[in-house]
Amino acid sequence: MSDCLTITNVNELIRIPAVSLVYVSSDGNYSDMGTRDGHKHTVTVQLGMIEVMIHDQMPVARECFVRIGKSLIVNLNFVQYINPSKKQIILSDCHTFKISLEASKEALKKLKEYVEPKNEEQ
Amino acid sequence: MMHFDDISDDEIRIIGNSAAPTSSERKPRLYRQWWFWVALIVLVVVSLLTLWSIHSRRFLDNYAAPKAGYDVIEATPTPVSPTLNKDEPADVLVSDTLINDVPLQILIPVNAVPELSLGIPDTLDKTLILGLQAADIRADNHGIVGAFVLKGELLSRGVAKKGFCAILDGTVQLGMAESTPLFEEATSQDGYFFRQYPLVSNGRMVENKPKNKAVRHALCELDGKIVIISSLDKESFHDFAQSLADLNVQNAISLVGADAYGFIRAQETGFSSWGTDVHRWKDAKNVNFVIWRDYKTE
Repeated sequence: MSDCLTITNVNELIRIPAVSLVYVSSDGNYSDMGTRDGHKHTVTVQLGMIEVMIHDQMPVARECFVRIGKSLIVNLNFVQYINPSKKQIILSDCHTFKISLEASKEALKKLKEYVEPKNEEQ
Repeated sequence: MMHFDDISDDEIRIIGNSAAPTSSERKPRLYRQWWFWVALIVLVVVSLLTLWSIHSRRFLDNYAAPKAGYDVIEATPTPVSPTLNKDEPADVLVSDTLINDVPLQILIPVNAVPELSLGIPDTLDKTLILGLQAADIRADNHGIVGAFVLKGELLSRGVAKKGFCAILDGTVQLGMAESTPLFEEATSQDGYFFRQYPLVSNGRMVENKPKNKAVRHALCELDGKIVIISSLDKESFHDFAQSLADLNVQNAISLVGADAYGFIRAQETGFSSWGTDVHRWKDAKNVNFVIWRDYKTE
């Protein structure tokens, strides 16, 4: 998993490996990117555009990222806890960080169904 | 190309699969589904056709029959007495005319008094100068259609047709109404009464349901006289009634048309008849006529 997300503007360049990108949340025209070291990078890019960047720049790792509703993208590798009724999702590596985020009940319900192990019927 | 903003708060999308999202992951919005637009177009077209149909039907109805229908004002019928001159013989004056391309024959009885008769009239009786079948006969039980009064005797009831003719003391009154005191007067004064389709009421044509074409006969009030007007060709009720109204007929009701029997005894042409010869009918007890009899023989 050597993919990286690279975002540049006139003044700076931000480069985050897929294994370190925990989530991206939307704040209007801005987006906050949370990383494993607990840092939060704010960029002047809409969430939808970051989704496109993930799709284009991380051809291998992109399947680990899920868009949840209009304002959140999460890395499935860090999903530790989902509670649709509480509208709560907790992202953690079970070691260095633990972040609680909020999403809609229906979206979390679908994410839960997607993440949970499937029992293959014979 | 991926549309990165077309997601609702209740949906999720695996970014790696976003080029071909599954239905469970990404449901397209209603307005982006092709069948939605097809259904919408069909709905709009059907609505427009329905509106156009209603509009054109109303237009045609208004255009075709601006004065038609039972909304014609019902008024008290005018009594029309026969003109009698004891110095002249009873006769039937015959004239032809053409109104709206409808050829018409007008029969004007003079010095004769109208009445109704039941059964086949004696056409050998030279006092009878004119006769046409009056009320319709039902095909199933051969009963008279609508109210029928013969010399004060009530023979049939009902208002199957709104047009009526009352004959009281030789005076004819034509009109259109569901109920009229003339019916009671006919029963109490030894008069005559029968019902038929109304054709003209107060100078305005009346629309009737039957649309077929046939030779038509009408009992009419024209220029203060009671006359018979017949179509020489097969006509619809509409065209026939319209031609009567255009001829300035004030009131008119239909008589039995098509091959109904009728006869005339004119001074100039003698006796002649038309239609099916009722003398051959096996069951003619309810066949009825409006006849004119020489008033000097009354």
